[in-house]
Amino acid sequence: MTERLRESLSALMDDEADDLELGRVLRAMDEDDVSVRQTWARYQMVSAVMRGLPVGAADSGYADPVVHASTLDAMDPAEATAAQAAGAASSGSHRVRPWLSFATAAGVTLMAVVGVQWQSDDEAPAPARVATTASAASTPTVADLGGFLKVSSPGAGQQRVRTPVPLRYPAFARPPQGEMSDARRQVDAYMLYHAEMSALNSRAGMVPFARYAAFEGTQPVQ
Amino acid sequence: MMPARSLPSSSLGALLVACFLAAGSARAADDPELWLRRMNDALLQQDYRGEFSYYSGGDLASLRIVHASIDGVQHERLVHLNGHPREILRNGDEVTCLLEPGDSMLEFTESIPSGPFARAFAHGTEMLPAGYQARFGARGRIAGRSARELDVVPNDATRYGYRLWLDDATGMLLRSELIDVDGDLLEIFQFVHVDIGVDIDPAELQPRSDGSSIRHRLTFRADAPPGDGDADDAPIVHEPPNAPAWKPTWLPVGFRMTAADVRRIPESDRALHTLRFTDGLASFSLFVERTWAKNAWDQRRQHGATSAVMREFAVGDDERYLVTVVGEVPMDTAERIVRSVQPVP
Repeated sequence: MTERLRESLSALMDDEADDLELGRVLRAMDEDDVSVRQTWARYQMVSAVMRGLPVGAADSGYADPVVHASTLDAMDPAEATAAQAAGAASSGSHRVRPWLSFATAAGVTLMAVVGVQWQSDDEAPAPARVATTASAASTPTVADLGGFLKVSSPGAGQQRVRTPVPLRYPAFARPPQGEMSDARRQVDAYMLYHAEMSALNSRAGMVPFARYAAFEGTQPVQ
Repeated sequence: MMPARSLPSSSLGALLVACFLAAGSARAADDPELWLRRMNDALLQQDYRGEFSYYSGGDLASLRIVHASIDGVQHERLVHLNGHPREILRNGDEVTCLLEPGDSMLEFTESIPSGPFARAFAHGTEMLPAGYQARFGARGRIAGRSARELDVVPNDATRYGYRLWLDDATGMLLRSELIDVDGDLLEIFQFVHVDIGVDIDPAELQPRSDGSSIRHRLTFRADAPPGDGDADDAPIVHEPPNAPAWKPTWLPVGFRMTAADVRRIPESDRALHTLRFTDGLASFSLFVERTWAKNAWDQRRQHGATSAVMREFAVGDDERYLVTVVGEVPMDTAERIVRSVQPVP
């Protein structure tokens, strides 16, 4: 896998891929979709872990980049701009469309096609939206989505489905700790407990103390 | 080579001994075990003061340290120079953290037992644990001091690697890096400036706090033998009468349990089982508690060198437990340990 391809995959994940990069990824999928998919899955996992997002250890794997690209394609222009998907939403490749058509025709949400499992969480990263299909006749089952994505009542109008794109806030805009969910708070408490015990038990050296002194908890992602 | 001239035998003997010693220390000069021991001795026995940078999880902190060994007892003061004003004081086996009201750390201290803590079993006496190889790197220069690089490389991908820079003159640790399996730097410790072997005024070890500081003390249990622990105070109500103990059924090679404890979580009647493990270099903590939470709390989180994995498991028909591993090990290792935990009847 070339460095350029890696960069294109990375850009695609950040919704910053242009047509050229999208085409590159699609051609690579043609030649060797397994390794492209694997690299994509790793990027997704690393990205989620780095942002402190809960990610189910689903063996079914993650979205491949083509499906991700197709979700960008499904967005209306306003959303596309918001997601900074400059260029990727405008045309994509003709190969992207079949995915979207399949999803629509089957009345299945792209989330189900994608197979990403986000753990149920009190605080969903915003803005995550749930699609009804274009026909709006059926609504996706919340159970399949683990209660993570909020579903509006049927017939509430057309909405889009997309894989959640975490928004990045600068450090100074982090929400106060009071808004963290109980689950996240508990893990952070355990991390502090571990740091305390390590500092107390460390034979020698400043690093365990530094870890303890610099403890800030992990930040929730919005 | 000595000229073939008759010398007093004592001088010759002394010279031969000197030659042997010189040859021995030339060998020792490249012995990682010796350098690690020297590093450990410097950290414990030297008096020093300095400022260092600490990089972790995308954040860079500055800290000041003063260390003195007085009558064989460690005294240390660490001052957190960025963000929340925090000081950590060590006097022998007692560690105190001084916090200001409003410090975010206080929110978490409510959710964890306050100790005293079970003292960890002393691990082996070898400086280089079994799961690692050590090899020297290039010479370097850190904090204006000439240093030797020592790489501590794990034998497998279940744990992290380290790069250390040790002061040529004293063996003191000047810089350390923690490196993950892909070669990424997760954590850096580096002295900006350090004075080693100086006289430390006892006043330097005193905290600069006014009356508003909150003291958070960490101490060892005085009465229990190492590694032992039992529930404190009143019986814990919400644990089934034959509540199992817990153990992981998989561990990376070389990790051993060093402490086990059951403790009450403050302001509640929940019991928290805590087990500590180390391979001599890295450590992790295993927490198990019963849960009645409505939502799934499963998650994976990381900050710098520290990974945390929490998973919920069902035991029997109606008992659910949260199992969490927190430690300086790769996320996948933590995940595998969590999933291997079994109740021990």
